[in-house]
Formats: sequence, structure tokens, C-alpha cells
Amino acid sequence: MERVGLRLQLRKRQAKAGDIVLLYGDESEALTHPYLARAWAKSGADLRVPAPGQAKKVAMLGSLDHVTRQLIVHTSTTKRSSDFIAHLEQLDRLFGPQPGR
Amino acid sequence: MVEDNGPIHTSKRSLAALAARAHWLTVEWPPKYAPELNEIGVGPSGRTGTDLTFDRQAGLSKDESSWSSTGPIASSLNVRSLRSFWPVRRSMVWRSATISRNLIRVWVERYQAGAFDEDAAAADLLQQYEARIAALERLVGKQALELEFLKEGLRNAPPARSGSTSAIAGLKTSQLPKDAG
Repeated sequence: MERVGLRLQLRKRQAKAGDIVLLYGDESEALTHPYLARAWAKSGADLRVPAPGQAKKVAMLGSLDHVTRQLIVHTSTTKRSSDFIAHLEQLDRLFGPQPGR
Repeated sequence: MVEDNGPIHTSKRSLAALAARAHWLTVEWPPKYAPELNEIGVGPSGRTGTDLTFDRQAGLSKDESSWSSTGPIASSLNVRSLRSFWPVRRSMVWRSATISRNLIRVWVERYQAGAFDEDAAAADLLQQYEARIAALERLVGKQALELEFLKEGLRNAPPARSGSTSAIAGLKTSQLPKDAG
């Protein structure tokens, strides 16, 4: 029997029953000007692709709600612990204990 | 919250921030070799994270909801969601995850044959085990309490009687006169 992820299976059931909110967290990066490997152009034409602004890397730290599939994303220019903590603060506001909740 | 073991999550500052939220936030660390357990996604060449460029190529980044719920990278290793992508996204899935096309076919066949229902059975088994552990923990707690109670009783019991006041004492032997007879 496959035993990897058994605990996660239990968590998923708890989330579906509404006992907990199950979030999957991860981070990624994207380029504002993605690399364009190939493009069509008329033979001999000097193809110019408009690329306003500077090419930058954007870091995204996100959490996906298992049940509602809501994605909570924090974007920043860096991918450091401080950015992760900023994302946690985002989660604080959404899911953390508040007066009356 | 399910987080991978990346340095951004395991640094001192991050762990301290997580510990500060321990009263409402529990972190599940999946095994290092099982990135597919994190539903938020597995990127090309095994990198975790949803790749926007890839989504754009797949035409799935038109709005946030489609991006979040049907990210092709997330589904590349999630066999259950392959049904919606199959066969339209089959080649894309194969290329993005750099896994063998044949392996995906085998997974789909196994899914269609109901082989992945074992997961649900395994979850039931886990619940049974957890219930059993809870019952045993209750028993151990009860026995510890009883033991403590008995120890306390022994401490408060009256001290044992000394030898001089013992009821088990022999009769004194009578001394014979020296010059008898």
C-alpha cells in the first residue's frame, strides 16, 4: 500500500469537512519580458517586438486553498525569508484569529 | 499549510515566524522526494512553482481563477485531474514534466482501472490508527493517574510497627535453679 502522503490524505478530508483550511504554499519566479525563442516575420523584415520597461524578475509566493482553489499571492522583487513572512502576514489577515472570528 | 523544505521556508527567520503562528497555523512538511504532493504545482524540469511563462504558452493565464484552478503544471503530476486535460494536453504534460509519455499512459490506465482508490483506503486506515493511538493514550493517562494515586496513598499510610511491639514474641523461658536436684 502506498503510504506516502497518508497524513495529507487525512488533512484533505478534514479540509473537505470544513474542520480546517488546507493551504499549499510555494514560490516561483517569472520574467516580465519572457525569452522569445522564435517568431514569424516576412522574409528580410527586421522584426521588432515592443517590450516596454525594463526586463525584471518577479518573485511570487503563493498559497492555494485546497477546497475553494483560491490562490493568495504575494509578489516581490526578491525571494527571501522577509518575503515569505510578508506572505504569512497576508495569510494572518485572511485566516488568522481575529476578534469575533 | 503544506510547504516544501526549501531554504526560504526553513531559514531561522521563517521558522520563527511560523512558530509565532503555531496557535493557528500548522505546517506539514511533505517528504523531500514527493513534490507532487504539493498541489500548487510542479514546474518544468522538476522545479516547484507555477511558471507564468508556461501558463501563457498554454493560454491559461487569462484570469486568476483559471490560472489557479487548472494550472497545467499542477495537473501534470496529478493523475486525477488528467481526465480534463486528456488527450488535449497530453503532449504538453509530457513535455512540461519531462517524464515519459508511456508513464503517463500507464498512470491514466491505472486511474481508469481504479488503482488509485487505494489512497482513500489508506486514509481510512490512518484514521483507524489515529483513533487507536488516541485510545491507548487515554489508557496510559488513566493508568498514570492511578499509579500516582496509589503512590500518594502509600506515602500517607501509617508507619510500620517496630519490633518491640510485635505481637509475635515467644514466651520467656523459665530459669532453672542452679542447685536443683
